Amino acid sequence: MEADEQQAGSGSRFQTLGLLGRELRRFILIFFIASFGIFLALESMPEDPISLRVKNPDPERIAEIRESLGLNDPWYQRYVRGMGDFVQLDWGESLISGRSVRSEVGRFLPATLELAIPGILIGASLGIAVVLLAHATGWRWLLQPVRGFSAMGLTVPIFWIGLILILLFSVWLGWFPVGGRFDFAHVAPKGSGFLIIDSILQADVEALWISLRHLVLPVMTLSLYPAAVVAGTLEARLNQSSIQRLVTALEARGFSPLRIWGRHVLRLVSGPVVTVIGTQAGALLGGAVLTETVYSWPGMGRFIVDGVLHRDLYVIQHGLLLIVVLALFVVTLSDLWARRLDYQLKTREGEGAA
Amino acid sequence: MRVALYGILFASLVFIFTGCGPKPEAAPKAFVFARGADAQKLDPADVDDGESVNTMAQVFEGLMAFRAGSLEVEPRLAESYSISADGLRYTFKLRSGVVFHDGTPLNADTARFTFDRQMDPDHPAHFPEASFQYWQNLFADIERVETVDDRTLRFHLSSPNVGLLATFAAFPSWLVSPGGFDKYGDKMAFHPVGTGPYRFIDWRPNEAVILERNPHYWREPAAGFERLVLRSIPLNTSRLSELVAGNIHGLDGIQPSELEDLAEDPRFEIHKGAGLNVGYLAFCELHERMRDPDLRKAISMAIDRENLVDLALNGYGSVAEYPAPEGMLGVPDDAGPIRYNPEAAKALVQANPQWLEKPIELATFGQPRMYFPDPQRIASLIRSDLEKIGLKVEIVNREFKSHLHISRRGEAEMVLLGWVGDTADPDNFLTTFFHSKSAVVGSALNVSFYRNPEMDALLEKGLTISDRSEREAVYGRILDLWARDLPLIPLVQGDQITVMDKRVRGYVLSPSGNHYFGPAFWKAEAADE
Amino acid sequence: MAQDFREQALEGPSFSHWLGVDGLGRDFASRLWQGAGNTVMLAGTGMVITMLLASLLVSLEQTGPDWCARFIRMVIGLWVALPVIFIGLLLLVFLKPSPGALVLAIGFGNLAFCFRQLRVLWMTVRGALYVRSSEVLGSRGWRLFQWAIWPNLKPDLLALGRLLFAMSALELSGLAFLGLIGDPDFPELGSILKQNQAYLYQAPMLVIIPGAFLSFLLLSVHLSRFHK
Repeated sequence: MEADEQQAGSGSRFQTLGLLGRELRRFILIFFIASFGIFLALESMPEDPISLRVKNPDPERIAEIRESLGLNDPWYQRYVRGMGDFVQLDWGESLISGRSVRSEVGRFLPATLELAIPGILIGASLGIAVVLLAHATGWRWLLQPVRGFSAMGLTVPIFWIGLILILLFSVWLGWFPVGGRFDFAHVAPKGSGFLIIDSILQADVEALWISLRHLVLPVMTLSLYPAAVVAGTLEARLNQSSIQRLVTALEARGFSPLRIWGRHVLRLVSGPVVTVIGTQAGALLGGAVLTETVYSWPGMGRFIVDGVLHRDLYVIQHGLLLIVVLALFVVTLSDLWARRLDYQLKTREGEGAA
Repeated sequence: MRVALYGILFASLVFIFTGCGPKPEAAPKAFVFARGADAQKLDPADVDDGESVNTMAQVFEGLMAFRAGSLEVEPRLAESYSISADGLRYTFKLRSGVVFHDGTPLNADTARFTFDRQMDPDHPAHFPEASFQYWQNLFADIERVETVDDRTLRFHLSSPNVGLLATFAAFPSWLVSPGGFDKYGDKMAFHPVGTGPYRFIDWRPNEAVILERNPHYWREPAAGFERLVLRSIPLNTSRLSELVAGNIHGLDGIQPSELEDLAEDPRFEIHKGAGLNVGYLAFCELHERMRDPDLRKAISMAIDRENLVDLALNGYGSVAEYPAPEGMLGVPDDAGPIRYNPEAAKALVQANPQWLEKPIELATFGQPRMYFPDPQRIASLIRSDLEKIGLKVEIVNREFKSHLHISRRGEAEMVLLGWVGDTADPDNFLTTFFHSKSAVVGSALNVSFYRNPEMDALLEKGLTISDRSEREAVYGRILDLWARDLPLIPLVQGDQITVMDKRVRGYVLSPSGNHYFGPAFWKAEAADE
Repeated sequence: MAQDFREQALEGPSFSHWLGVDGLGRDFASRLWQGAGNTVMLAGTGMVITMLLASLLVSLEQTGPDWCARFIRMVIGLWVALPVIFIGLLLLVFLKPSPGALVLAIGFGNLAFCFRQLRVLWMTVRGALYVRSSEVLGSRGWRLFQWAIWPNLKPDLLALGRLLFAMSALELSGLAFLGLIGDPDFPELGSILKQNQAYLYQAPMLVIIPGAFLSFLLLSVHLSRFHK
C-alpha cells in the first residue's frame, strides 16, 4: 500500500506467496484493531441499549435480558465472544426490530452492492474513456470539461447532485422513479438478493426492466465521484514526461492512436488507476450512504445510520464491523492487483530490454 | 468481449430512455400505497406505531370493529354481544365459518389465545421483549376470560368500564391465530396470521409489506385488490413525486401545502377530514425548573399557535384549545383558557431571571405524524416564539423511537408529542395525559409526569358513570384542573389527509387515522361486473 | 436569531429579501450567509484538527522508535479505508449528535489522507539537496527547520490545507444532510438543504441555491490552487 514498501526487482512465485502472507497477517491485525475500536465505542455508549429494547422498564426483566445476552460478563469475555460470533456469522438480533441482523444484512448488502459496483465500474470507465478519447483523438476541447469535471468531484456535494437529478429526470421529465429499488406491484424475483441477477436468472424481463429503471439515477449520482477522481489521476499521469516520450516513440513507429492509447498507454497507467479505485472504495461507500438517503434506497447505509441513531447494539457491532472489513478487503485487493499489474509491466519491459 | 459488454450496456441504456412512454390506463392488479415509515412489528399486542397498525388493519380483525368512517362500534368476528346489567360481564357470541389465513378455524379456544397471551405473564406467547403495554392501559379492568361453549366467550371485569366495548375494536384486541404462534414462535410478529380481507405474503424491511387477497374471506365481497403493497418512502416530497409519476396509487403524510397543486390534478382524489388527535407540548415535571407554574404559564402565552397551524400545518388543521379534540363529551367548543400574550409572558420572564441560567431543552423528532406533519418545524417556530420573550431554547432532535424513549423516561424538559385517539371517548385522551398510573418512568404516556390525586379520582370516576350529562360535568372539572395546572399545552389538531388515485372506490377515512383497505376496489373492475 | 417574516413565508425574491423568505418565515439570504459562515468555520476547525494531529503523527513516526512508526503506519492503513461518514457514525455511538461531534468526525476522518500527504511532503523536502547541504553546513534542529525546511514546505502545506478544507466542508455538509448535526435548525449549508427539501416542489430554489453556493465556494477555493 505504501510506496516505499513496494517490491522492486524480479519476483518469483515465492515472493508472491510471501507478499500474500504478509498482507493476510496485516489484514488480520487490522481487523482486530478495528473490532476493538468498535467495541470500545460501544462500551462508552451512554445509554443502556437493553432498556431501549424493553418498553416496560421492569428492572428485573432488564436484568434477566442482560444476563441472557451475557452483557454482565467481564469485558474481555464479551469482546472474544463478539469476535467469535462475528466470524461464525452469528450476529444476534436487532434490539429494535427483533430481526436477525444476519438476515437484515443479507437483504441490505446486496442492495448496496448492486448500487456501488455499477457505480464504480461505470464511473471509472467513463473517466478513463473521456480522458483517453481526448488524448487519442487530439480533441483537446474535451479536456477542458474533464478538468472542470474532476474539480467538480471534489467540490459539489453528492446529495445535492442527487436532488437535482431527481428534480430534473423524475419530477420535471418523469423518466425515472423517484426512489426505491423495485416496484412491488410486480412480483420481485427471489434468490441472491441482487435483483438484476435474479431477474436474469429467472428470465423475468419485466422485473429486469423495473430494477434497471430504478438503478439509473442512483448509479449516475454515485458514479460521478469515481469518474472525477479517475479522470483526474489519469490526466495527471498522462502528462508525465515518460508517457509523453513513449507516445512520441510509438507514433514515430506508425502505430494508430487507438493502439497507442487503448493498449500501450492504458496498460501503463492501469496500476495507479486500480489503486485509486481501491482507496476510493471507502469514500464510495460513504457516498453510497448519502445516495441511499436521497433515493430511499434500502441499503446498508441507512441500516447502519439508523442502527447508530437507535443505539441498536448488534447492528452497530456486526454491521459496522462488516462494512469496515469489506472496505479493508477492497483496498487490500486493489493494492495486490495494482502491484501485479506493475510487476507484469516491469517483467515485460525487462524482457523487452534483454 | 469488452466491446460486447459496452454494447449491451449502451443498448440497455437506450432501452431505458426510450421505453418510458405513458402507462396504460387499465386498472392495475396491484394497489400500491405509500407512507413515511415502515411497520415495526406485525403483532397487535406489541406495537404502538401507526404504520404497523395500518398494516395489521388489512390482515387482522377484532371481535368488534369500528363502522366505516366512524368510531361507532359494531360486532365483526362476534355475531352478537351482551353486557350484564352491572357492567361486569361481557359475553361475545362468535361468528361461525370464519377461518384464519393458516386454516385454523375460529372458535372460543382459538379466539381466547389473543387475550390469554396478553394477560398471563407465564403464557408461552407472552414474549419477554414485548410490551403488552396497551393491555395494561386499556384492559386493566378485565379479571379473567371464560369459555362458555365452543362459540361463546365471556370477559369478567373487576369494575365497570364505560369505554371497554370500543377497546374490543381497537388493534390490541385484534385476533391472532394460535397456529401462527405454533409455526413461527417468537417470530410471529414477522408473519402475521389473521382473519382479515388480505393475507400476508412478504415483508421487505424499509421497502414494502406485500399482501394479497384472502380468497377464503368470510364476508362478501372479498378484498378489492388482488395484491396490496404498502411501501415506505421516508421523504414527503419523494412520496408525492411517486404519486404524480403514477408509480403509487395512494399516500398519506403529505406536506399539506402541496395539496393545492394536487387538487387540480384530475387523476387524484383528496380525502380530508378532521383528525382525532392532539399535538402538544409537555412540561416534564421531573425537572426542577418545569415545576414552576409561572414558567409554564409564560410559555403558554408566548406560543403563537395560529402561526403553527399556518406555517407548520399550512392551514390544514386547527389550534387545539383543549387536551382532547373538540366535540368530544365534555370538551367545550370555545376559544379555551390559553391566550396568546407575548407581552405578559415577557414580563414574567423578566421577573424570573433564574429561568435564564441555561437553555431549556426542547425535544423533537424527525418523522411526520398526523398531528405534526413536520415536527422539526414546530420546534423551530416554538423556539423563535420563546426567544422573543427572552427565553433560551435548545432543540434536541431524535428519531421517533428514541424520542419516545427519552420522553417516557422524562429526560427532556419540554417534549413535543401527540396522541391519536383509539376510541371516541375523552377518557382515551385524558387518562393518557393526566392519570398518575400512566406516569411511570420508562413507560409513561403521561410524559409531563403530572401527579394529582384529585385528577386521578375524577378520571376514574368518569369511567364508571354511564349517565351522559353527569359524565360531561366530570370531564368539565377535569379540564378545569388541567387549565389551572397546565402540565401540557395542546398546540394543534392536524387534519388527516389521504390522497388516492381516482379509480379507487370504497375507501373511507377513519377518524382514528387508520386505513382500512378491505372495502376499497378499482372502479374499472366494478364496471366490468 | 434572525428576524421573522412569517406572513411572507415561501415568497420569492423581493426588494427587501433578495433571495426570498424560507418556509419558516426567515430571510433566506441571511440564513444562507449564516450557514456559509458556519460551514466555513466548522470545516476550518476540522481541517486544523486534521493538520495538527497529522503533523504530530508524522513527527512521531519519523522520530519515534521503530515499532511505534510501524504501528502508526498500520493504523493509518486501516484509517484510509474508512469513509468519514463511518468514522462519524462511530463517534456518534457515544456522542450526542451536534456540530462539535461532526467537527471531530471530519477532523479524525481525514487524518489518514493528510498523514500520507504530509509524510510524502516531509520526506521529499527533508531529502532534498538544499536541506542536506544546509545540514552539512552545520544547521541543526530548529534553525534547520526554520531556514531550510519551512520555506519549501509552506506552499505545499497551503495547497494541502486548501484541499483538506474542501474535503472537510463537503463531508461536514454531507453528515449534516444525514441529520447528524443534532439541531435541525442549525444554520449549516447541508442542514439548510435538508430542511428545505420539504419545499422541493413549491420552492426548488431553496434546495438548489445552498448546494450551488457550497459548490461555488469550494470551487473557488479549489481553483485558487492554480494561482499560487
